[in-house]
Amino acid sequence: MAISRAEADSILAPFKPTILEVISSAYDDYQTQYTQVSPIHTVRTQANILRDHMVYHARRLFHEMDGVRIIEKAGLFLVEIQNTVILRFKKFDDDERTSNYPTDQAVDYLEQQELPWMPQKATRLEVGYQLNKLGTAFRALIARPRGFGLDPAWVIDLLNLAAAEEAVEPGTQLELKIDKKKRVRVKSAPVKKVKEAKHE
Amino acid sequence: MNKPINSEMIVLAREARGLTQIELADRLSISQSQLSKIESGVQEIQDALLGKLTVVLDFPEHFFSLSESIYGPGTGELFHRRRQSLPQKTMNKIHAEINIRRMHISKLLRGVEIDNKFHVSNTSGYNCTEDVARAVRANWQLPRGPIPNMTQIIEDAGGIVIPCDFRTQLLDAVSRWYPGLPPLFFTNIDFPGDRLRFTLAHELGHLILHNVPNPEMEDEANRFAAEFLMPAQDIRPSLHELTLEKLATLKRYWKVAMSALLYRAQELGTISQRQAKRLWVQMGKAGYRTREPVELAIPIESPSLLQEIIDLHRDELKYSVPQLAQVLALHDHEVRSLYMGQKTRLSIVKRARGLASTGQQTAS
Repeated sequence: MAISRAEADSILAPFKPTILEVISSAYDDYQTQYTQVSPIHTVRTQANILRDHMVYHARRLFHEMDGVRIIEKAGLFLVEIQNTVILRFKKFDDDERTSNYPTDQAVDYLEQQELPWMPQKATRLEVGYQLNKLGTAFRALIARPRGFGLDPAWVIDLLNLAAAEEAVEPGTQLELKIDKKKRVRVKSAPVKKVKEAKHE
Repeated sequence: MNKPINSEMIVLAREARGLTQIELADRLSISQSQLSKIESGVQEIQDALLGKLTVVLDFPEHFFSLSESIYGPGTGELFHRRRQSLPQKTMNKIHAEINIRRMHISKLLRGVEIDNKFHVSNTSGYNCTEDVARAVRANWQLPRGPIPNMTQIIEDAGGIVIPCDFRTQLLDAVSRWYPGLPPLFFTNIDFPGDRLRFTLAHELGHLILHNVPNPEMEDEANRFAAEFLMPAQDIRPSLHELTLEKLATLKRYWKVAMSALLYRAQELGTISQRQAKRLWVQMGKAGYRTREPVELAIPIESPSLLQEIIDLHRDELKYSVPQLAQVLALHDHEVRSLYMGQKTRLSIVKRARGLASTGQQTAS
């Protein structure tokens, strides 16, 4: 059964702060913990790292939460909520689509087709982030996929890009102070001091 | 009897205050012809007029008696197109201020010493500019990868970095290596942190490469700076499959402008001309060629060596402000504003081991 945007909005309302925290924590992790190696990461590596961190934070934040069940099977990490929706954590491109290898399982998942171990009543949704052009801010969104290569049926913004960009702190223009270390010495021969001026 | 006056110091003081002969003559209520004669040493200055001059130009009387050498514009002016478009009055003011700062540093260094790693180098044995940059990095024992603080590198090597308000965006920096002094880098405070870092590396290139000026010197200094800040061996693997997002990531890591990274990728041939053009267009559309994103701003590096020299005079040599003012031939208020953090930011550089001063002068 495919639920509408309004129904999803209502069901997920109590869970939205947690979902947003999952996404933002993963994004923050990448910004702070990978600064030394991010220049050698491809877009794919970055996406994989962010996905792993979203899974980590989802495990942490949804653990034993009422109405929530975590499902890990066939390489998928899913969060089922109220037996009604299933969330999968992904990166979205500029067209609000997620990228997937077109395996049978991936296609069936996106088309809401029957999968042997998947709760059939629940609507499958995708949640995640969409980066701005510089990767300096992210939009958090929930989407209902319609099928492989297709635009989503609908999208819910948890954090829109304009708000996210506005929240980004400007890079500091503050001066970068040099660590104090003594680099100046008095010459060994004493210098002749000038006579105290009278005008202070 | 009139006091002995160095007429060149009158010119220096006038230009440092940004005044023309006509403007100063007007303020002194004398003719330009009379001032011209005084400045050229043809006519002595009367004590009464000297007193008025000290007030109008805000220098103490003994400033005008100093027997200092005045240095003219550097070789950088010869081949730098933007610099040639600077109004003469602005250029005179900048050179006057630089001369005065140089005199101050010369006097301050009589009582103190700093480490020196700069070397008078013969670069003729190197195949290319980039080789020289690599050699300097090796000689200064810099680790691979980005330079965390370019100003500190210069200061640790014995150069003195002096941020100045040039009041123009046509001049990034001026470097000077006067006889008997460490290299001095006068940087324009009106630029963002990433540009200042590149400017310092560029000026370092001038000092090391250009004993004799040549028409290619600006390009050579840019290539030196690029290799110094972004060594090809270290950065090349990261400059593939470039996007704006990747450039932003690289900017944060290498602390250089996105545009500098894009130029570097073109130089190293890691992207095609078509890819480069596409990125330049994207940069232009986003406005990044004029101003790069604020969230990616690189912190401005603050030098500290000159302040250390001042502090040492104050704390260990026990100089009072009036005594420093007397040594530097300034009024107390200007000592405070210039050297005690009340107005402009000033700092020093160290000298480098084995480098004798060569009198090199460049500007970028």
